[in-house]
Amino acid sequence: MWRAILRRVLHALLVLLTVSLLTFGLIMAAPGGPSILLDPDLSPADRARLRQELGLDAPAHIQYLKWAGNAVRGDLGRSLVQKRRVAEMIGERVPATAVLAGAGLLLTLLAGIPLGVAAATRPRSLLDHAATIASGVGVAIPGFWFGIMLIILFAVWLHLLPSAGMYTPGGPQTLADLLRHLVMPTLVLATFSLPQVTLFARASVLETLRQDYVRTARAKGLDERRVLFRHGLRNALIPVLTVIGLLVPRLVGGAVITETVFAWPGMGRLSADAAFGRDYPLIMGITMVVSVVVIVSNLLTDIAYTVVDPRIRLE
Amino acid sequence: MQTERDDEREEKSQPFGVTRRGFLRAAAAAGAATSCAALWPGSAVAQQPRQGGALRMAIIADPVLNPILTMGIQSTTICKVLYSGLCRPDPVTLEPRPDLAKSWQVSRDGLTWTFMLRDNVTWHDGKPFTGEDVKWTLEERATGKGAWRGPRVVKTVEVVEPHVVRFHLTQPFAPLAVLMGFTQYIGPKHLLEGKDQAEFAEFNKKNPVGTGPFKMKEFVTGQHVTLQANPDYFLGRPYLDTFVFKVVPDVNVQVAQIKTGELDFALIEPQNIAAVKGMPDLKLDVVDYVNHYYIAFQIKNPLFADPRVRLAMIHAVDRQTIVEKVLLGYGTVATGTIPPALGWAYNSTLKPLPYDPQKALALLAEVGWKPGPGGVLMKDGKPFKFTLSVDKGNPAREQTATIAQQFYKRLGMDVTLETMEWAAFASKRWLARDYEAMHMWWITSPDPDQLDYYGTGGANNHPNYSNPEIDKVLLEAQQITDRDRRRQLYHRYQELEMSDPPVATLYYPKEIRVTNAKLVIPPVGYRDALTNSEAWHYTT
Repeated sequence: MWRAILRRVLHALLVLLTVSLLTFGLIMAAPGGPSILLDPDLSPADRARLRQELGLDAPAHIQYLKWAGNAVRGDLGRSLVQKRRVAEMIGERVPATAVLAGAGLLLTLLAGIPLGVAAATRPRSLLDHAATIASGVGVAIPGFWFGIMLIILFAVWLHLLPSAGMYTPGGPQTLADLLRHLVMPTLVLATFSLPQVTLFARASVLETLRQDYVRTARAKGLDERRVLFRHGLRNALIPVLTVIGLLVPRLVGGAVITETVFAWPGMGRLSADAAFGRDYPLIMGITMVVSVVVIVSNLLTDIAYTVVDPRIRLE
Repeated sequence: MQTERDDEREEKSQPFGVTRRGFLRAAAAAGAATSCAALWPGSAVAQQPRQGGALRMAIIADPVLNPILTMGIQSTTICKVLYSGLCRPDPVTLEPRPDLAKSWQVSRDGLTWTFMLRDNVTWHDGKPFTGEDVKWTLEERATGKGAWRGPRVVKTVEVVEPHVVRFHLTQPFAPLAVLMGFTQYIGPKHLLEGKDQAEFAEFNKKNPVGTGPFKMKEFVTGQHVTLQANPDYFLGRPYLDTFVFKVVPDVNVQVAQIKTGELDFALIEPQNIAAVKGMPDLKLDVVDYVNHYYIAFQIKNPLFADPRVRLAMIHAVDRQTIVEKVLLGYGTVATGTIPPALGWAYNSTLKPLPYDPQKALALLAEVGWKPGPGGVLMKDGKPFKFTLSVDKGNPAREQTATIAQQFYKRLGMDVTLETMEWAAFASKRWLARDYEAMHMWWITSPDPDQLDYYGTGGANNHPNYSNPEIDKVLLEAQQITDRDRRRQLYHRYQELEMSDPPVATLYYPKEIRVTNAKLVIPPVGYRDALTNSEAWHYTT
């Protein structure tokens, strides 16, 4: 058991190292430099001095080692643009990201799994066809367009929901205010993940219900409901766990479009701003944080496997 | 509300006198003259100003609220309201008016400017504002902590008395007062002197202290910056109670928010006008601002070295069509690099060079470019071939570049269009001056001095343009303070441009804003309107 944990920790460190090297390499290779150097009012002398102050004129591997040396001690550096600590800037965005990602995940699971299961148990029914088609549409819809359409419908025409943001500025930050602001971004975020979970659950349940042991259970005289819930579902949901495990990092770090459209102050938007501004420390910091989320989420998925399926052991 | 006594105090301290009442009168006059009335029948004529209310405006990302370090439009936008400069642009004519300085004098040799500062100004934390703050701020900027806007002509700043500062210049410099009113905010020495970057960050985010009409109330990162009225503001309490800058990164959502009433002010592109037309709670405001949009040709490239080639490039493009189709009419075809928004400096006797492809071909023939097989322009066996670069993501610019490309192709040129993401474009093409042709623009301070952009060796002269006669004209005009002489010189400059264009100017687009129908703001570009934010108000 301890060996398994040690192996996982080493594995995780290796992943983080590789990700950091790759990200840094990409940043260095990308054309254009930090946006703060792109100010036309900076004289060439100023620009050179600023580059030197920020350590940007050192060779790439020196810059990387400097960053890594600080990072392992918990110092993720300062944003080139805002001059604030990267850790602090990311930390500020965590609540908003957690709320949106959590809501998206909740909607995805609460709606996706039952829908997928229901569709599988009623193959070729109206529900099955509707779920499959709706899922196809959901995956294909561009989130940007869908978000704007929702805003036009619910905010501009119907005046039912606020168009963007997380809270009403200057207003009391009540739960009700938050929930009203959360509705549309959650729908848009879930548009991509919900269909995936639905289709996956559906396929997995269909596959499971074809297994021999299910046939045996039916032959033994168990009603369909018990067959499904007692015997089939646990096995069917194992692959679905994988999909969920892969969704979490996307919800946390990849909700850029949703956050941009709905002015949601999350990490996705921060990472987009950092990328456009070539804000190296911030880009590295966010990438590391998201990598850690991926690693933890994979670990939790693996643990969940062992809980759901006694045949699987944590290795 | 202003009382008689307030008016008196203001008149005495402002020899160039723009009081709030004066501005309102001027705004009413100007308001009637703008295109407002034509677009929106029955739009609000000057009514009684109302004390109070909140103004919500959009920014696209978090700002840095430090007066020395400002970068990015969202930072300068908010800093114009939080901080003050020595001067400010007049809310109608853009001439420099008193702000922290109540008057100023220039020595005969033009090397010394003496600014008399107001003695009744306090920082938002209650400490008094003095000349020490001015000296410290300018020296911080000069040592390069932040960008110095404009040519570095200030050698030293001397605090003669607590409220008198003297600038010693390296050369006479006429635009100094204008520059002091254009993103040259003064910062609090007592709070920032000797502090390092880390503590600057605290100031920037938690508690920026300025002398402006609004002070910090709340900064929720990623969401909004809310400022509240400064009751001790030296020109009197502003009309508005709060100024809220909401972070709304997407322009379509900004338009949606102005429609739902979640924003009171939004800048829009021509294609968004249809979405807001006819809404009774909104009004459309169209103003000129100081800019020129152009296609630059790299003059170090032998292809474009001859002015006749550049003239041909101007004659080749039907710029009126671009203004109509791309800007939907919200712009003017350009004469040269000085726009009508610069008022006195603009040479209104000049007309834009006409669209004349035959003339273009004739000019090119003079230089040796003749149509070869297939109509392709050839010289010494080589075709006229170049790449036109434009930044990605702005539909108007991309369309303009595409249309220009088509017109050049009609002449027989082989033109490849290159779009590039902004940061890459800015560093690889613009700042590195590594381009053949590039669609760019300048938005400048309200002074016609362009020595930096088009003078030989100018720091921002990316086309590497050089015309000794223009150099002479621009240098003299930069140094002489006499307005009439400057006007003569700039008019001459524009004439000279007509035969040796530094860039192929395209148009001067108008600034289009949609606002709450009851909002009254100065009828100038918003960058300059915000410097007069204490006068913004709602009508009853």
